[in-house]
Amino acid sequence: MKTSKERGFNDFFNFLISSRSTFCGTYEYMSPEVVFKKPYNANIDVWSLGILLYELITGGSPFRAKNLQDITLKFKNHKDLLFPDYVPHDLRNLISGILKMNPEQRLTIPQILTHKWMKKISLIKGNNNEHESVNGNNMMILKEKNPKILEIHKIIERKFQLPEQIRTKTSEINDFTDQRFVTSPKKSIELSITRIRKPIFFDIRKKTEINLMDSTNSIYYNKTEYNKYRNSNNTNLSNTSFLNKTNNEISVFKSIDNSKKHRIFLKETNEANPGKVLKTMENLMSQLNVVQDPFIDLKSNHKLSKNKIQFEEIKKTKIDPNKGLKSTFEGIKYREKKENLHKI
Amino acid sequence: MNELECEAEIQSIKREIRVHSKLNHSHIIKFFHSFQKDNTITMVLEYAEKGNLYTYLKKKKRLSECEAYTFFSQTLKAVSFLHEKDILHRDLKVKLSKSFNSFSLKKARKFVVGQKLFNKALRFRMVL
Repeated sequence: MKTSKERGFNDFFNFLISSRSTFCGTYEYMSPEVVFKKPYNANIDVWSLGILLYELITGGSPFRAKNLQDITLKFKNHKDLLFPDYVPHDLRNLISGILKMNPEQRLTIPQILTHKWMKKISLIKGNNNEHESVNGNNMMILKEKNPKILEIHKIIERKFQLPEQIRTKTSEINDFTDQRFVTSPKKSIELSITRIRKPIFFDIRKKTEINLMDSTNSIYYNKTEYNKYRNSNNTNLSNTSFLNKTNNEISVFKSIDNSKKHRIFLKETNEANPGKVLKTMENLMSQLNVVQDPFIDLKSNHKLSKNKIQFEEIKKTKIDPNKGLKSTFEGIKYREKKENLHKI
Repeated sequence: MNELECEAEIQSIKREIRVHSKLNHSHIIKFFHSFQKDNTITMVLEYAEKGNLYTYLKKKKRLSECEAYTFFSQTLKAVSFLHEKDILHRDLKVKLSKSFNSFSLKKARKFVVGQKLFNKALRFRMVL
């Protein structure tokens, strides 16, 4: 039977259906197990993948329905899938292999990946597509295609004699039929968690902060620099702002007053332009009337919490040096609070 | 809506947020941030510049085999990534698996408690 975890979303889903008439479209993607309320496993995602393929190629879904009753009737009377004429034979084979009423007869994901049609198209695509050629999968296909490449690979491997782990990483990292992906889900989870937790704030020593602001507003990264500039030129400093940075805080001051304008915590994103991220974040916060430090309210996102807490503790001890003990106690309390929030 | 139903909704959203924030895959929309204010929960997700697959399909009516292959193989990778971690998507469809290239952060997703809820996140990012 289903555990409470497994049931969660589906119950919610049923509740939506029962309470709403406008909830259409998803019936077409419901698998027979869900419709007939049988226990299910990962095969339901495979079913909807099959319908996705069918819809991409023909433009319409194989089981059109507006009600639960419609779709139950269609499933009961279902015999063979109908295809338009232009669908080639191996594709029909693949789709009808995925869309089987009995979940145990359906193809599994590794079986789909090694299917004739998938191989055929990936061979055709391998030549033109730059994106895909980076993947290990296509390297394998290239190897099969071109015996010279195989020879070159062998020579390279002999010359450098990489340790096994690295060799497998470079060649098979995208090969989902590889057993490591199937057998060690735990390892992959651990890996990904560390990968997520590492990049939190910008490393200021790397000079990434240059991109933070627009070049139209001049910014000074040091107080001494700022003072130099101020002494040498008596120009208008109304538009200039002053950027102060500590280990994990970047604060922006408005020119002469040196009054703190706002404090910004940053999160590293690999692809995005950091300036853009920051600006859009600020815009968003101002729209929602959230004042200062958007990340303080952050409850669900665990990525920032650790450094944030440490910073908070340091700040408190600096402000109240006499109440050192008390402040650390508060810090611990704060941490406990945070941890409880994650558990929600 | 009852209070009980509301709570069930909120908890399902929170569960989704908890799961989604831990995922890091090139074909799954990135989760940046979420917060609650009054009766709205806002999720900040990666912005999908070119919209969703549904509108793209509607424009083109049907795709060629090559194009269908790229989308299909990408969703396959994303789904098998989820299955490795014992996560079932359960609600896969064209309307969700949308969106092409994009790396900005413009769109915030709002869940108004007690109103609309279908626009579940966990969408897939497609690269043409």
